[in-house]
Amino acid sequence: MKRIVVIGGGSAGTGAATIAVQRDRSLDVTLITEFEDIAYSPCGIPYVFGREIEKFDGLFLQPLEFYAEMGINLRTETVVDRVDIGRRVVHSTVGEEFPFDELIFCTGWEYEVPDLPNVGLDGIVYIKNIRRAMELDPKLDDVKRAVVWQAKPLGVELIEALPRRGIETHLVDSGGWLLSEFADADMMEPLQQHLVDELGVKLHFGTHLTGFDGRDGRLTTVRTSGGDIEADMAFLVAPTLPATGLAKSIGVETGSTGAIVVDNQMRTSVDGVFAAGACVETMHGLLNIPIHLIPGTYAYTQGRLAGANAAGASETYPPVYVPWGLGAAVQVGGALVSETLAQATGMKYVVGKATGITAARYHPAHEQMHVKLLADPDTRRVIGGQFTGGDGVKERADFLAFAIRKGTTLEELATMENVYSPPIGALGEPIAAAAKDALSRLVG
Amino acid sequence: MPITTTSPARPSLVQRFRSLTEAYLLYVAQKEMVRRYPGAGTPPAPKRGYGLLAVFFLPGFKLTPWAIKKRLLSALFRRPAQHWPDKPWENR
Repeated sequence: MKRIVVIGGGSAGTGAATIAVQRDRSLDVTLITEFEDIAYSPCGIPYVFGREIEKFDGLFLQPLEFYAEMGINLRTETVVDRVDIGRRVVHSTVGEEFPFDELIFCTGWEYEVPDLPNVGLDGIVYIKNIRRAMELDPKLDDVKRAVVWQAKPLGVELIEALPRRGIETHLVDSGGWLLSEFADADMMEPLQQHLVDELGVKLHFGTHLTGFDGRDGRLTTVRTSGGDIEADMAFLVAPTLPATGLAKSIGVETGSTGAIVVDNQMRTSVDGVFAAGACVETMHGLLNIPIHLIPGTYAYTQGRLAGANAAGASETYPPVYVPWGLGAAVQVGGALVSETLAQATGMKYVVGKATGITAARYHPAHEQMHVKLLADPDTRRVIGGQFTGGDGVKERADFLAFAIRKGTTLEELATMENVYSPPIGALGEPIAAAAKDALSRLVG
Repeated sequence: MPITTTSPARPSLVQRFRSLTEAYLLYVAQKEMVRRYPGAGTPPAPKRGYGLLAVFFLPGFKLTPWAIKKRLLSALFRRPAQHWPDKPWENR
C-alpha cells in the first residue's frame, strides 16, 4: 500500500489529501497539521469581524469527520519535529512516526514579526488562524480605535470591516496608496474616497510604523513616522514568508523568493517529495520569473495537482496570470501588470482608459466601471489591466487574465462581443472602449 | 507551522538582492505615478539602503533595455526546474 504524508492542513494540504484518496482508495494518506482545524477560509475572517458573514462556522469547508470518512488519516494538533528522508519517516514532537513513500509539503506561510519596540504588547494581533480570530472577535466590542498596518489585501478588508463595529480605524503604510504593490493610484482613488467619506477611515500613506507604547503590558499607542496614534488594537498585516524550514532541513531547494522550487508537476529537488501552495514558487506567465503567491485559489489547485501526482498521475500546472480583486461597496480588481509595475521594470507600454457602466443606463442597477488597460506597443498584446467600480470587477479580472494568457491584442479586445441585458450588461463594454483608447494613442 | 516568526530563515544573497531591489524599484515607480496622477496618491516613504541603490543600481537598471533585463531576470531568478511550459497539455 502506497503511503502519502501531507504536512499542512490549509487549502493546499486539504486539496492534496482529498484528491489522493479520491484518485486511489487503496492509498494510505495521512494529513498532519499543528492546528485544531483544517480546510477553512482565513480570507473570510475580516468579513466575520465586520458582520457581513454571521458566524465563523461558515468559513469551514467541511467538518473534520468528512475527511476521516473519506479515508484520510487526519492528525490535528500534531507538530512535526523532523523528517528522516533516508528512512522516509516523518517524526512528531511526541515521538509518533509517519512512514511515507511520497511526501507533500503544504506548510504555507507565516508573518515576519517586525523588529520594532514593544511589538509583543497585548492588543497587537495578526490575522490568520481561525481559533485566534474567534477569541479576538468579542474583544472588538471594547475597541474604540484600531490601527491596521499595511494596505495589502487583508489590510484593505480589515479597514472595511472594523468601522462596521464602530471602531475608528487608521491605516498606516509606507507606500503611496492602497494595494500599491500591484495596483495604480488613479484606480484606487474611488475605493480610498469611499473608505474615507463613507466609513471614516483615516489613511496615513507614506508613513513608516516605528514602534508601540503600552501600559501594564497592553497597547496604548502606535508610533509612526508621521506621529503617534492612540489605539487599543493594532492589526499587523506584516510581510509574509514562505514556511520552508522543515523542507530545507531535508535538502529541498528554495529559490529567490525564499519559497520552495518546484517543477510544473509540483516536484521538489528531493525524489518523492512534492510541495504546493504558499510555500512554493510559481511561475509568472508574462515575466517568466518565479513569484511567491499566497491566495487560496493557487494553493488549492496546486495542492490537488501535487496530491494527484503523488498518487501516480502526471498532471501539470501552467504559469499564472494572477487575476485579483476585492472590495464591497467599491470593487477593485485586475490582472498582471499595473502601470506602476510596468514603470518599475522599465517595460514599454501603452495605456488605454475608459469609464463605462455595468448595466443599461435606464436600469437602476447600473454603476460606473473604470477600466485601465496596458499593452505592449510593439505587439499590441495586452499585458495588464485594472477595474474599479460596481458589480462585475471579478468577472472582468478573470476574463482579462485569461485574455492575456491567450496573447490577446488590443484589436481583439476593441472588437470583443458583450452581453447586453438591461440589469446586467450595457450596450457598450468599457474594456472594448479602453482598448480603443489605447489603440488611438498608438496611432496618434 | 506557526503563524508568526521572529527568526525567519537566513535569506540567500540572491533573495536579499531581489527583495531589496524590487521594493526600491516600486518605490521609484510610485513616486513617478504620484507625479503623473496628482491628487491620486501620496509620495511613498523611502527605506534604508535606497540612497545607495539610487547611486549604484538605478542608473544601470534604467539604461538596460527591457529585452535584456527580462533575460537577465530569468537567468538570475529561475532554476532549471522552473521552465514551465505555457501549454503543458499540448505535450500529452
